[in-house]
Amino acid sequence: MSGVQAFLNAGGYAGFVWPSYAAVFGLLAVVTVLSLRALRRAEAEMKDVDGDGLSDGDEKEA
Amino acid sequence: MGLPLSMFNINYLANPRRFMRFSEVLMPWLLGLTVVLVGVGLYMALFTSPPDYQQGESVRIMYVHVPAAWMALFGYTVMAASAATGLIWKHPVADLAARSAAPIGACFTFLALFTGSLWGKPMWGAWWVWDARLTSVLILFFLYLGYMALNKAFDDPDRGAKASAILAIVGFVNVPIIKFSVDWWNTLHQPASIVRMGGPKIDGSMLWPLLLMIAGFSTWFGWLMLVRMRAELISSRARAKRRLQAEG
Repeated sequence: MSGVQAFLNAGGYAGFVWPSYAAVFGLLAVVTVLSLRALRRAEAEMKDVDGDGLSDGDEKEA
Repeated sequence: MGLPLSMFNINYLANPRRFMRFSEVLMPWLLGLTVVLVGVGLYMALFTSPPDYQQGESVRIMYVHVPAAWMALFGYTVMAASAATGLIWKHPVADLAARSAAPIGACFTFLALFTGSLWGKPMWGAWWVWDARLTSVLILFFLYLGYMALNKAFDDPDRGAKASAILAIVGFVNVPIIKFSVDWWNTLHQPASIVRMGGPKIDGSMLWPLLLMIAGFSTWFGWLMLVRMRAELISSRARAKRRLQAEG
């Protein structure tokens, strides 16, 4: 068995090790993308309202 | 109609504008640290750390399972502390922090259960056992879900925040139960190996990647929380401004 194959085989535990890593990094990637998308959407919404993001309007409000 | 912004001026981060500035500075650092810590931790976990003398290569599940489980507890602690701060001092940013921490903590709890199951099958011969550690973590997962459901269950967001904060605080009793479950009951789950009297009992070649992954998941958690908090703050301000504009 080559080095890469041996690594991927994970001592016979491949079916348990790799799904663990895939689940963790897969789900965290989904949460990261969804959170960033929500932020972008909110920023676009704000731009839509006053054209200049958060800065000036907020200073005046406070 | 003006926004009741004076209610925000209680103390430093309870002021959303200060929070926006603070988070803007902190976020790139947290993101950078996450990439470095998780990157190096992952490399060590997969390539430089040795197989376990009993568990063989299956021990590599530990490097994602244990950090996810720590984040499950850390997330709940952050959520309950923020919810309590929101409830007692009426900090709107604290409520927002609790609300933002909940789904992230729930994800980590799910991952701890899922990877634990994948580790349990080859080591214990069972995907699931109703032992004290596993059951108390499952309850933690339901507490997160209950918090999120209750938070959204009222037309008045303040009532939702209050009701869910009480659940979060009462549910916090589960956190020490999880931590000490392996000492208080006879569990199949192994006892603590890192935070224990007499120091860690894992070798450095395994402890370092584990600690790096825990640190990386913590900064990832913090960064995600700030992203979600900023998103909600900006969005609620945009809506308030739109209302003001509509009312002339």
